Amino acid sequence: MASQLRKGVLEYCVLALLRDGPRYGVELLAELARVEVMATSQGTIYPLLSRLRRTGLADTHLQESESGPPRRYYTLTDAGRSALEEFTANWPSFRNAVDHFLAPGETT
Amino acid sequence: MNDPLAHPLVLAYLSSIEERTTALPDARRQELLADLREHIEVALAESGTLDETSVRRVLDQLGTPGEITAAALAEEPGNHPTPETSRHTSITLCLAALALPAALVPVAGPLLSLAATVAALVRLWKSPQWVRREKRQATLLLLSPVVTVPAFAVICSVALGGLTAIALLTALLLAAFLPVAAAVRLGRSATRLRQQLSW
Repeated sequence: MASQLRKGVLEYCVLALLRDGPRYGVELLAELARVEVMATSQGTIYPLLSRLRRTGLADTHLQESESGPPRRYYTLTDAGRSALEEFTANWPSFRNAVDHFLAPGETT
Repeated sequence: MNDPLAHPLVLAYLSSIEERTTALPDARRQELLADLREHIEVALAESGTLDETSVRRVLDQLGTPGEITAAALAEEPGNHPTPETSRHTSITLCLAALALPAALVPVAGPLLSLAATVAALVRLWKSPQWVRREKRQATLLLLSPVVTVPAFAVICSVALGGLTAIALLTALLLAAFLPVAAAVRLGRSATRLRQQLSW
C-alpha cells in the first residue's frame, strides 16, 4: 500500500531535492532515506534516476572529489523544473480531494 | 586503497544483478550496473574503510538484487518480452535437437532433417525468449552439422577403413552434439527469463 503511494510521488520528491542545486547519487539517496515514508532500498532509485535523465527532467555530470572517486551529480533541467512546478501546483488540490473522501461523514 | 569493486561480496552482488536483468534492453542494463558500481565506490570511499562490515552495510542499504531488478523491470513498461508458453519453447528446442537424428529416417530422412532445422531456426528468431546474441550463437551451432558431418565422416572413414554405414552413423552422432548443446543452453536461458518476469 505504502509502496504504491510512494511510487507515484517519489520522482517529484527526487526533483524537489534537486531544486536547490546539484546532488550526487549517494547524497541524494541518503537524503531520501532520512524521511521514513520515502525510505526504500536505495538501489531501486537508480532505475528511476535513469528514467529522469532519459526523459530530460534531470541531467548528470561527473565531478572530481577531494576524497575518493569522482561523483556523478544530478541537476534539474528546465523541463524538470517545470514538471516540479506543475506537480507543486496540483498537489494541494489532490491532497484536499483525498482528505475530503477520507474524512468521516463528508462523502455524501 | 584497494579497489572496492574487486571485493568478493561486491562481485557476487553485481553479477547476481547482471544475471537477473537479461530481460532489460542491453543499454539500460549496462547503465544500471554502472550506476550501482559508482554508488558502491563512492559509498565505500565515504565510509573510509573497506572491511566486510562496511561492504555489507552498503550492499544492504542498496537492497537485494531481487528488489533492484524488480524496480528496473518496472521502469520498462511495454518493453518486456512477453514470454512465449513453455510448450512453444519446448517444441522449438525439440526440433533443434532432433533435426540431425531425423536424417536417419529411411528415404525421407535428409528432407525431414532440413525441414526440422529450418522450422527450428524460424521459431528461434521469431521468439521473444532470447536476445540476439543467444540467437546468433544457437544458429551457428544448429548449422554446424553442415561442416561437422562431412569432417567427422572423413575422420571416421579413415579410422574405420572406408566409408561404411557405421562410419557415417558415428559421424552423425558426433555432429549431433553441438545442436543438442545449443538446445540445452537455450532451454536454460528461457527458464531463467521466465523466472525474472514472474516477479
